Amino acid sequence: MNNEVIRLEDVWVKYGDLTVLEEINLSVQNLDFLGIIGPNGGGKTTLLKVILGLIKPARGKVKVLGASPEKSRRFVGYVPQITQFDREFPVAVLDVVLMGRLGRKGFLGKYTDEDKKVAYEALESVEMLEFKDRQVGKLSGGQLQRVLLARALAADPRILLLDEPTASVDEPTKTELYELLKNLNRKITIILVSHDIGVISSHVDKIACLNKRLFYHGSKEIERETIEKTYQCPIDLIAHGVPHRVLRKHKKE
Amino acid sequence: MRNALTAGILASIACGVVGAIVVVKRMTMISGGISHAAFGGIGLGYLLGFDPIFGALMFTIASALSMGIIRERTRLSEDSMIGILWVTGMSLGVIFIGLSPGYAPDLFSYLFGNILTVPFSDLMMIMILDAIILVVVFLFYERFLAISFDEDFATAAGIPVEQVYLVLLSLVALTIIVLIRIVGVILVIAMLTIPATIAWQFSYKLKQIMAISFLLSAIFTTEGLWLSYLFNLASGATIVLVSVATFILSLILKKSSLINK
Repeated sequence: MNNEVIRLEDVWVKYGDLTVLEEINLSVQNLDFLGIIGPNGGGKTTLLKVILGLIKPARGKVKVLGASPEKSRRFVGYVPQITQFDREFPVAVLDVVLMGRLGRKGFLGKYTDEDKKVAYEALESVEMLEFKDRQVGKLSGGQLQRVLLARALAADPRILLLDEPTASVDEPTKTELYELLKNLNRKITIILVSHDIGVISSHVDKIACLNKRLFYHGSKEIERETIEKTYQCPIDLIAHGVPHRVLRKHKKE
Repeated sequence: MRNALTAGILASIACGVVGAIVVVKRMTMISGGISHAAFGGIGLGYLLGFDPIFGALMFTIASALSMGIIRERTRLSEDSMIGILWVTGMSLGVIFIGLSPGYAPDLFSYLFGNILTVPFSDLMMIMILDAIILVVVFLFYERFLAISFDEDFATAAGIPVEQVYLVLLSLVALTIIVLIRIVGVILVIAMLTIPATIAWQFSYKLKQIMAISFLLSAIFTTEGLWLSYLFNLASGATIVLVSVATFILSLILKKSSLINK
């Protein structure tokens, strides 16, 4: 039985003449918890958008749950970066979470009681139910992050994609968020991208590095030789969840 | 005069509801483009001898749909496309009117509005358009909110974003037709944006912003009408200036924190 939920084969993405992603090969198994790290501008958000079908690769094949990204959208939850939001936008928390239910409705149709129930549950699971009537602009970064997570969960996804979920969130909230994701991971495949390597590495099961090219190690125990050969992210130190082990500086390309 | 007052209040319904979406989705410029494109249709009406407002309706809908499709399917700069649409409509209008035999009556009122001479048949038209707009907004409210708040998520979630956006643009086109009577193609964006912009300063709820914009718009048209009648001024421009003055006042109120969200 094939356990693969996402497969990218030789994927290239270009913005005009600029190559953003180069020869990406990736295979994600069901219930993986994959962290993708890399510098800003390394193509992390672009990679997520390729998996979501928001960006068409110039070359290569993308399969999500055995079909095209567009066809599988209903099963993929997306948690974008919170920095992109207009904080003045007039919408309340519950309305945002309900948006997660719209995808399965298509062009017409109002929210049902079932939709509301699911949205309440999603808010409950991220401990934000008491804020359901609050305007999004009045939330802290961590709270908005959790609301966006609830919105993705309201769609009842099989795969969850998170873009920098711990940016602009304080340390205790980060740990809480990872605990939450850990629980969700029992039923949902998770891919998380971040430049915040310190936190990511102690929570995920598998790590890949992305800086235009993807270096996928398969497990988070990266061997030094592999890193020195392949890992070109300009990150100074990485501590792969083992408190006493700090890896050496990466070789520059 | 009574027709004029009724027309102002009826138009405020479309103006408040659609204007609120235009402002929070930041569609002011595209709305400006669509309303100026209407002038091409007005010219065509004069040239071929049918009611210019139907020409305007054809042109606003056509330009709204083509703008929506261009935006969703190409990587052209939306900004420049709006500019091109804007001047194409105006130029076509000028050429068509130039080619029309004789004098173009009421031309000025299509450009700058003339609410004082609104016939009863136009009231009927505005009412029908209002009804269509309210029904469509009711049906699509959640989707309009979703594509305005976060278009990427909406797409990724599987909402048919392009179709929903085209529906929204068509509503903008209909609202522009309603407002052309009141303020004319050139001043339409004032009515679409000023009441909603004021309302947004004081509310965080889209439905509330719609209601407040409707009220403000009704007040502005009534007040503008009254002033224009009193001092014998152009009604459309007076309505717009009343709106602008209120907007400035609202900024001051907001700044001095007398009223807050």
